Amino acid sequence: MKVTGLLKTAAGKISGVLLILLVWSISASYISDIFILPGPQEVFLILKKLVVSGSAFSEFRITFIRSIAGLSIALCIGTSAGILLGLSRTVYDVFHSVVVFIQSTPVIAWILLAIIWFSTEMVPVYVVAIAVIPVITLNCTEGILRTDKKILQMAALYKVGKFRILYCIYLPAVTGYLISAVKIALGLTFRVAVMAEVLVHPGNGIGEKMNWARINIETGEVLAWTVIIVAATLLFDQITDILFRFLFRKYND
Amino acid sequence: MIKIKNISKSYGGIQILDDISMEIRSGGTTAIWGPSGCGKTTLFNILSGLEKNYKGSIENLPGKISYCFQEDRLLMHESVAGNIRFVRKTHDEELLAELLSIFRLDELKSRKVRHLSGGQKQRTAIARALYFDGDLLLLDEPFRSLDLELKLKILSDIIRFQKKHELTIILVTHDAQEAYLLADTIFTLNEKPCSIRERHEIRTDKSLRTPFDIRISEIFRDYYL
Repeated sequence: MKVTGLLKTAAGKISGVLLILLVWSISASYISDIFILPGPQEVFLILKKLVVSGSAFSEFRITFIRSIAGLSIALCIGTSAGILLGLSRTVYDVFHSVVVFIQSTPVIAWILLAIIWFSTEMVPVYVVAIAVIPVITLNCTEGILRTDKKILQMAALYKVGKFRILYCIYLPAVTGYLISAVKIALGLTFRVAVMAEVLVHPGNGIGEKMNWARINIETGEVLAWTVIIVAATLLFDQITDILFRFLFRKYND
Repeated sequence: MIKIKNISKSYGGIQILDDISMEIRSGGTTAIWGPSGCGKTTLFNILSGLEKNYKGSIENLPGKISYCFQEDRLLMHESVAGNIRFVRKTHDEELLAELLSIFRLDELKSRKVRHLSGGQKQRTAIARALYFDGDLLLLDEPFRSLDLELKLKILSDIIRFQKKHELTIILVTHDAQEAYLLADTIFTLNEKPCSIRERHEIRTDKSLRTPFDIRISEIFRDYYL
């Protein structure tokens, strides 16, 4: 039954990909202009060339390092801020609107400000961090606020230490929210990092390559880099899922 | 002797507790019997210090109070032993083993609480309250998920544990049998607002009491008829 379920899910996903390829293929044949929309076959050949030459890996590695650096900063700041906002009513009242303000500000505004404030190399890292911090913070806060008050009352009655309350009561309550936040953040991370690279021209990275391909009207290469980003996002989504299931298996099994 | 003097409590203009006064003998068991929803848990919340806004006073209240809540309030991701250990900074493995044995939890000690039945969870919660090693134990409807056979076994084990550890117990219940089998003194309550109706001393030796004694109907006749 379980195997049948998995096969059905896999079949559904494959059908979705095939549908996209079919629509893409039909549209490309209808337009029949390689500069506007090359077909999947042409893009696949460019992708193969990028992989064989090693360019796909070297550029991806640079974008990946920037993205993960931004995500790590966001995780540290976002988790700490989320816990503080959840635990203190005063901190929540003062800073919740600040976090919402950061979240509501368009990413492009942060990129433009970052170009003025930081060195080119640092802009993607900073922009990823600023885009992801509110997601992590607000999810963490929600987890803390939704912690069972009766369990907290029990811990207070038995005078359980603050660290144990944090580790044994708050952490399990926050875990689910944190996992969702990181999964949303991961999708956001690569997109924002590439967008920042396109706009600031750091000299390398997928965004930089996409920008050069756009200037040279190499639409196929733009699409090939896009495929790489989508594949990486999907891959890391699965890796995160497995990693979190392993790390927080105590709370799930 | 714990002296509860003229305790009154209102929520949003509705009187819940009305001038409750009682004396609780140290080392003994006092049962507070009343219908569900009459305000017994509110009285426990006041005694445990969870509810601070009330009228009246409490004298000679011990510093260390264990409270077995009406709900189990367990950490679902922790094991049975982990939940019991949670309430103490310094662990006493001998006491833990004794409690696991009393509550028939030996074989379940490593099992996560989320995989237990309602009765097993309730037994874990009682064991946790006893492991805290408080001077006063508050039991709020602690046996509601247990069948009569297991309830009788656990009641007799609690009586033995109490003698050994010189524990003062206050039991809140709406079950006349439980109150009779465990307590030396029973306070019966009126409802809306909750006030003391009668006080009964039970002098029969606890080992001689049974759940079908005529004394139960003598004490509670007025309430059930």
